[in-house]
Amino acid sequence: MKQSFSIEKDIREIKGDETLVSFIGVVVSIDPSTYMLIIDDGTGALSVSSDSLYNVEKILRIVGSPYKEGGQIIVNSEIIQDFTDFNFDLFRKVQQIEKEVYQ
Amino acid sequence: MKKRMPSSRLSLDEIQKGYFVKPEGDFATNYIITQDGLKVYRLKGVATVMADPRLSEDGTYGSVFLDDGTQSIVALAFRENTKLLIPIKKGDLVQFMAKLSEWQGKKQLSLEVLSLVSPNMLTLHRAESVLTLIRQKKYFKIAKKIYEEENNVRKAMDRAKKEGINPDLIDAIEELNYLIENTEENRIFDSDTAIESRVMEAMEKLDEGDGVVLDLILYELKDDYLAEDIDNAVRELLSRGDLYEPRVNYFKKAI
Repeated sequence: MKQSFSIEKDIREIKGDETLVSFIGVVVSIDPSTYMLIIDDGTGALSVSSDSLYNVEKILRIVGSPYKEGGQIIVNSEIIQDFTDFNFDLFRKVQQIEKEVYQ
Repeated sequence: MKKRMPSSRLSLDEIQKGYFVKPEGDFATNYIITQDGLKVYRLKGVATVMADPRLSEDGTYGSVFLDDGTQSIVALAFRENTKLLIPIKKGDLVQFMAKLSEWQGKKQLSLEVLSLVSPNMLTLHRAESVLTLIRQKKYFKIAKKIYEEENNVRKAMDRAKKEGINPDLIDAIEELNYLIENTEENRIFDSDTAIESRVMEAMEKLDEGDGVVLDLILYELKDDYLAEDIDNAVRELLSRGDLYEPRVNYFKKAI
């Protein structure tokens, strides 16, 4: 049975065999011909397929299905949320506390 | 006048791991008791809308599938609350307040408040949720120690009160022990999950590209399940966003 919720992961933790993952990162480059975005969350970067193009430096939250292609992990986006003005540093601090409490 | 129970901020994972309790008495409020003994009568959370909300044709009820990155849940809206779903669409980040219910062994929300929120509310929600959990774990640990040392509920409650611990926690420990003992067997085989899994298999087998009409799914599984149960499983998969309806009564797998 398909997992029915997205697992929040750092980009470096994404293996490519998950059903649905979510992460928050910054657009570092775009390919207008393929609608591919490169997203970096500070732990790593990966390609995200998108229906729209976003400006470089925009903060996005991605929910999507990862897969491997030629040794590279690509995330097929299901949802892209515009996280402009998001306090990423504060969120990272909360995530760190969560890791300590939930483990 | 009936007392309004306050809301608690928690992750959906804590809710899904908890036990649903429907107390005796017509006016008693349902709640979920978490593994750390917190009774949640109303849940407040921030989550992503994973599929466009569904509204019944007569507008008397609707549903939306929510995911907070730790777990997911179906949220229902009834009567005048269905208007909460109208401005909401797939991909929105929302804050909700909801009562808790259970249907066919699955936890659900009954929406009272639903609104769009800015991304920073996600951080606030997560920080408050983890704070609730830290406090609860701390007091639950002390209450459990008292409960085990006293070996008598009445004495344990009196001692908890003297030591500044909410005596209801002792009650919650008793309740949890009972629930764990009596619900483990039911958790071994989840019949709803089995039907949903068979529906998804049938969809894969039958879909030739344009989706599968409901009657064909019912026919495919007629030897194993009642039509009503299959129909319910299709609706559940639809509300979770695992299936979508490209045209009336035709269904396709979402991914």
